[in-house]
Amino acid sequence: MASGLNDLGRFAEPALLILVALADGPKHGYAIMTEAEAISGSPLGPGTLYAALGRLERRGLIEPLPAEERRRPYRLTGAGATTLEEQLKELERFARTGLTRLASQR
Amino acid sequence: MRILLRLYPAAWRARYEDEFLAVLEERPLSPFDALDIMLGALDARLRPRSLAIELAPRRNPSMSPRISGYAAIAGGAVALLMVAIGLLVPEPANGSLAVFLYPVVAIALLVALLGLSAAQGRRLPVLTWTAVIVPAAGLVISLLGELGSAALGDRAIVGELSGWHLWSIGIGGAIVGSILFAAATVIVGVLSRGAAITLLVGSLALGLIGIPVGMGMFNLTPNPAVFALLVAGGVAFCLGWIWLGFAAAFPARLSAAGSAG
Repeated sequence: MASGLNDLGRFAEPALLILVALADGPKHGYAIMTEAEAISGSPLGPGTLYAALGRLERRGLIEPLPAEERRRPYRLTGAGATTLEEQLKELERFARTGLTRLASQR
Repeated sequence: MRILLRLYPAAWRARYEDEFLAVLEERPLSPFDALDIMLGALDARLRPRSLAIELAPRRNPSMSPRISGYAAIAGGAVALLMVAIGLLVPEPANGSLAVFLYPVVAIALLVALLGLSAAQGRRLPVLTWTAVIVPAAGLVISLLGELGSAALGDRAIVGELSGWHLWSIGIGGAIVGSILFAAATVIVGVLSRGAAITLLVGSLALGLIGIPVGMGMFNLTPNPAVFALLVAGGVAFCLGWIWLGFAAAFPARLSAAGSAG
């Protein structure tokens, strides 16, 4: 089952960051890493990056493109875009519920 | 940088090495990145099926036994130097030297542990890798503890634990884990059994005497015999690693020497 990232354990969050980083087009490893760091505000190590990339590729959520010199770009697959959309909508629902409850106490 | 990549399985390196190196060359390698790469390599070895790599039957070793052998020799030799400094150099200078030397020992032994286990893991993989997790985790935790202690002094890092506490827990784990690793190495029988038994004896001495002393259960000062046993255990521990390293890095030379004798 390709949908959902929760069963990736400690790689679920880096995997989501990678999918978001690839949402606007293909990127190679370093660009994904810097973009994921900019989005989350915390460092993403190269070991974690490639552990998460390997899992996403295994699940068919991203795919590698031909290497440009030594740098290999990755892009979202159709299943990856669907999974990302589901994850973001779930987060949106979660945030809306939390904000609504907070507002009701003020 | 390339040495760190040798920690990964061959199948992983065949698929990712070039692009991974391209990423690493984009910015200076920080201690955080180095640790992250080591954990990534451990993950790739423990759970290769979760990654997009082909796990074809391997004819070649996944990590050069020579590199892990060199690491074991270096780790054991520097640890032996630390024992000598502890005995010969007065405080507090010996403590300061130990702070600089310990990361070298820990990183070298971590490389050796992973590499030597890869070499013998093809025979009894579950036993081998189970016996690696504890010492590898201990070494990583002790390194984090030392880094934390250098950066934050006695302030708490995890819960109420300071860097020194983490270092102590890590050292305890590394010693107990060395007992497991040495025992597994004796059982598997791929690497030198004599070296593994030496390491086992040294690790047991450190575990049975060093850990209780470290926990303050008894004082060494009035027990010169116990102190001598602890030093002998420490020396056996170091020599065990050095011997294992030589056996892995120069197998032909050792077997030739053995048959000549």
